[in-house]
Amino acid sequence: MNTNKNRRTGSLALALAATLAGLAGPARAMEDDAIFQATRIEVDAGRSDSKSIAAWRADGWIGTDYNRFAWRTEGSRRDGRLEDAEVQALYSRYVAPFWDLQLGLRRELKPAARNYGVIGMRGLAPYAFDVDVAAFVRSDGRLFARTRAEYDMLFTNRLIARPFVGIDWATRSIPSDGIKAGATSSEWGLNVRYEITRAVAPYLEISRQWQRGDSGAGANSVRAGLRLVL
Amino acid sequence: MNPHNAGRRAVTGHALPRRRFLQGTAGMAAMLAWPLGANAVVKESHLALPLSSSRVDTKFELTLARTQVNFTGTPASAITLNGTVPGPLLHMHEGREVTIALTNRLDEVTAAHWHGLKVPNNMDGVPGVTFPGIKPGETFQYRFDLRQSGTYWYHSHAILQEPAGFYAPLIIDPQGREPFGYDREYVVMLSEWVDTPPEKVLANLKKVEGYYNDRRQTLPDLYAELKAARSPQEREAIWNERVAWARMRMDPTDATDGGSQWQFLVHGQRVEDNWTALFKPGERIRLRLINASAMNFFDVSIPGLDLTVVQADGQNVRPVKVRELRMGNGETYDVIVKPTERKAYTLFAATSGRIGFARGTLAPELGMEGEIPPMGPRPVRSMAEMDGAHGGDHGAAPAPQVATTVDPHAGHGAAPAAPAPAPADPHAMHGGMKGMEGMPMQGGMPGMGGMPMGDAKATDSLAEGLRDRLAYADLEALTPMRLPAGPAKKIDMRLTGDMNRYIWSINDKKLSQATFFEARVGERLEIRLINETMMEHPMHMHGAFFVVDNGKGERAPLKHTVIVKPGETITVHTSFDEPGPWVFHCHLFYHAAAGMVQAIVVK
Repeated sequence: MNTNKNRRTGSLALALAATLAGLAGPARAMEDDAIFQATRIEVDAGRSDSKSIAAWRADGWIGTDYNRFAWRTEGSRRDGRLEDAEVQALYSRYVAPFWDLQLGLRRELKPAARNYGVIGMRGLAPYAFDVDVAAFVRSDGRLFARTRAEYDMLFTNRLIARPFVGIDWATRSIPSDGIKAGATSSEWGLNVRYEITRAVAPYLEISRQWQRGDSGAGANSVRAGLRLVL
Repeated sequence: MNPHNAGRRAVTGHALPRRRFLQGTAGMAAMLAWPLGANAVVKESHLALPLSSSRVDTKFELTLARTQVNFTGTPASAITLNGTVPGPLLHMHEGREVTIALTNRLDEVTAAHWHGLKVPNNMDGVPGVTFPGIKPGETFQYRFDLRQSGTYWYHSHAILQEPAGFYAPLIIDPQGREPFGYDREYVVMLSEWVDTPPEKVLANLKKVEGYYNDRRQTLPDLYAELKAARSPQEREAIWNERVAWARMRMDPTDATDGGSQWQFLVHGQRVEDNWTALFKPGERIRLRLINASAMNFFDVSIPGLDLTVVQADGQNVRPVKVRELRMGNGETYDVIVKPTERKAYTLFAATSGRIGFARGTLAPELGMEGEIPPMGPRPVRSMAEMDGAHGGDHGAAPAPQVATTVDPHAGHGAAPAAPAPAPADPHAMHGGMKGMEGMPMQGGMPGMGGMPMGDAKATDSLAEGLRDRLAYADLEALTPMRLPAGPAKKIDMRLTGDMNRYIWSINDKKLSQATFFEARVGERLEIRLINETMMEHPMHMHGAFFVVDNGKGERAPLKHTVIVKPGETITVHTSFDEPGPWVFHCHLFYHAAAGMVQAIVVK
């Protein structure tokens, strides 16, 4: 991964967040405006269509209740080869109960190196669905979007099943990239984790990925991994 | 220095780090080792010393330090006062001037607040509001006149130091005679302990909603409830209840922010330590109950004995007999019990969320133990309960767990017979509460959500032996209270928050964002506390007492802390005789640390 660039992007966004936090900041310095953080990491490995697959998804934030620097990264390796990888650095603003507005940059490293501007909403929708919606403007001006929803179903207070569905969208067809307007890919599945503690939870995830233009019904994957909340 | 050290999680008379001395039955021999004075090594003792054994004084010295303690089997760091948790009892006398020298040996700013005491503003001890705080290495001299008597306590107002151990009782003997008699008295300080440092607890609560809640409702629970339902209507009601909570993104099991890691203590003693207070059969024992817990309410009872409440928050009330008291954080109650049999009675203090309990024993001799009653099921809030104006009749509530021990409205005789419709969203609920605001505050009115009644209609297993729980409506001041004449200045404090983010606020502003209220010395204030959240908030005011409007007119009780339940509005009347910024805050310390603090600037 291009860590140098990531770090630059990260520190830029952190500086941005800090500035905005300062501007929106309170008149009095009190302990109720302290800086907290959360980090969630999920790393797993398994099989997908008789190939080996490994994937990661991590996100986190650092900041006050209202103003945060948020980051996320995800990617996968198939048969030992890095297939896709990206990282986002965002300013996250608490705009309404349960909801954050997020603005920032997305750097795609694989399959191709590309940059995007990001605007998104992330939060908890009525009925307790975790919802994550973002629009991306690629450096060439093309517009994309992502929607993802998750839902925690408790079998016990430790054994939690999380069905999820994520869809990637393109607003226009881009023949040069082989992209047609509409849903370009999707992934849906079930993640079942066992929270040994809140911080540590092994999980099993079964999912199906679909790419537009795929001849078949898509690829299934079964992966086992570890989730850390730090 | 006050030598009253018994029963505390004692280490030494000095603030030397030292392991907890003895555990369990191995401590039997040490139980008879009495503290000999400030410089003597104090042995761990589970035996409570009667208040009469402590010296009334006017000069006190306190040293604050980090000390290793062991409540759980794992050594942990506590903030101790003169080496102990709780800190030393300060025993004072009304009408005198006292000085308290507090030396800070921590590496952070601190401040002691005298909870319930009317002191000049610069002695109130709220760092950043009333004074800058006491820096590491500094000694601060508190000095003030005692203009009141009763059961109080003191604790850090650098808020997260309290759950780390900085709390202790403060008793002021009256100048005159008490209007009630008793033969012996004990201070019963209830508190909690968790090995996780409070800063970390708060960080975790900010990280994941309900971080410590291991009692959330599950799908198998739902299935079992639906299966147990006796009719399709019942099933539908169960389903609708679940759906309504999910729609609001709220958790009906969210009765406390803590979890199973928490331990509950009587005067620093764990359940297995068995804090024991001695009596002779037939004696009248006065118990001075203090809830010093950081995030848990206690339901206090002594099975087999009636509790005669004689004081609330240090103020005389017309004696009222109850079987159980609910104590919000920061509340104190003085009760008199009269054990007649030669047997051990259990002082049982279950947390309102039923995540644990503290216990002590009243016994004619050491080494005895009474039966520990069951805690009863963990409470699950009902939607109807949230709707302050229309407390539902839980006799009609379908699921057994819907009618619960925390149900504030079940006891309303006047509660409507029809189940309250589950509000569709938070705004609908607020609408309901607004409707309530205009209602006349009279005892027994359904609009008086504020008055916790007994759980007469609770259908859970606890219901049978269910004691009558003290209600605010039962409290009547012994002497009439007159507030300054003239129209009152009205102040509304909406208790607000976002549980999902662990943001707690008043009028949607955290302390750091708030514009303080203003008042003049002697001005009459009418403050409405309007709870728009899903949790109870014990609201505590500094600098003055307030009259809780409970329908008793001139005999409405004086308090410094009042529990406001979800969806409820409580009106209090007050007036300040000292200028300065006086804070008004939720006494759940983690809520206060998250911002649920306001202030009234008195000029």
